[in-house]
Amino acid sequence: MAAALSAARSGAQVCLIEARPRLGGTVAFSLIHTLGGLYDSAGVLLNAGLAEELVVALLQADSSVRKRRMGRTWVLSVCPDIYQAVVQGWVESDRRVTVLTETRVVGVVRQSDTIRALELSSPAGEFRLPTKAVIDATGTAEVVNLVSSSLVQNEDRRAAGGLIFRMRGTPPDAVAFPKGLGILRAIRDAVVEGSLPRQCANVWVDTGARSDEVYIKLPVPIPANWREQQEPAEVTRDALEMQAAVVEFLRRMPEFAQASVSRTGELGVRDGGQVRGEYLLTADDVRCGAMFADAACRCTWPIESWDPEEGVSLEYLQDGSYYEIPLRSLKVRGVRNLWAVEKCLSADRYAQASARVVGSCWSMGEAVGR
Amino acid sequence: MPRANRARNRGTMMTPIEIEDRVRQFVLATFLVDTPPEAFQNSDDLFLLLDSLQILRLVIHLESTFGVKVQQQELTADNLSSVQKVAAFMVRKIGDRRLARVAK
Repeated sequence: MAAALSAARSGAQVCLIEARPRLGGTVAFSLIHTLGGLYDSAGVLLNAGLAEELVVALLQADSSVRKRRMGRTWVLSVCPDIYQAVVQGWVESDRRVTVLTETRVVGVVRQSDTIRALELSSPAGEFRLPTKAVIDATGTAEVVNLVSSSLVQNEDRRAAGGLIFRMRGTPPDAVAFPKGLGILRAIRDAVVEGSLPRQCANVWVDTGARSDEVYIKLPVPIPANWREQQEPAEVTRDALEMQAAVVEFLRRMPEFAQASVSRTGELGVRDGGQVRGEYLLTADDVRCGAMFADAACRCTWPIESWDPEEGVSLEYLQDGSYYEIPLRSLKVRGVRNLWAVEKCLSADRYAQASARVVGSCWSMGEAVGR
Repeated sequence: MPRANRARNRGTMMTPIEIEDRVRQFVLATFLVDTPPEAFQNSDDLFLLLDSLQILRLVIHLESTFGVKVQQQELTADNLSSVQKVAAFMVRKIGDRRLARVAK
């Protein structure tokens, strides 16, 4: 969306291809309710431009949207439904952007080092779309993978995915920090006692944008062959079984006795493969606060690693420091007019674990679109 | 002394200053490894320095080190938001445990 808005502002005619029926991406459909990467360690906006415009638009959209401190970081707390409505309205209001929903890229017409057209599949049928440039913002390098699977690097051990669901009907601030730690500890104790599955040890709970809601995040192992036809459904089925066990457990606690699941998000894939770019952003770049002449944006989010077995760990940058993402790490190697933004940028697993948050993604998209 | 009794006595013989120092050392060594010790005060707000996972680890460490059980309603800023407050909380918990033992 950021790439589309930015390219349109630069004068391009843009076609935004969206597989879902509506815009909103991972935030709206996987239920991300805390937007990271927008602020520095002091709570000041890190990047101007579309990221800042997004914050302003969300704050104006609903009084429940607020900046809040989460541990050592600052995030924007927002209901995913509000985010969806705001970004959809924003994109649709730009006449230079044509949105094609329920449409997938199923093929790429390539001539030498240039992509000439995309082959699309939609409910209306299949058709070919000539193009001057392509920006893969799928988060899992779907388009780049169609160009050549050799342009996508996959880790042997993928970061855990996440299934997030929302429960409503809890007392106000039932899991607000630090009280919520007691819920987490009860879940972990239940795992040790054997009354919850082992994977539940790393469940996470957080207060929502509204006072009577709680977001629960389940870490979900993503197998190496997750792209294969049956795997996504099987992974989701296992995650939903874990969800049922956690809900049953929580509803025995006084805080959740009257609560029910109000929405379950799509399975979120944090690490669906990184493109091979002209530059590989590394953990050293992140830790040392690397700067680049072709900087796309600034980042300061901790290295947030989701291990399938151990759960989440956070490695913080020095307070007040940041690093930059170079445009070269968003440029796919060997293809003149192909870019990749967001989670599938060219980065090692640690750099990606820092760079993939929402604020950075908006700024990456803006830089490439420009 | 049997192992179970040793576990129950953890923290019993420590002075409040020793308890505060144990908590401080754990926080520095575990979560603030890049912070010079002289730059960290026992009154500093742990809720600004640590994330919630780290606070949870601290609570689990307190329970195993001092042989106490932190109850859900005790997970508050008054008890956990600085080394001084944590130490005072542990002193109270250990005192409560002693009283409970005497009452038996």
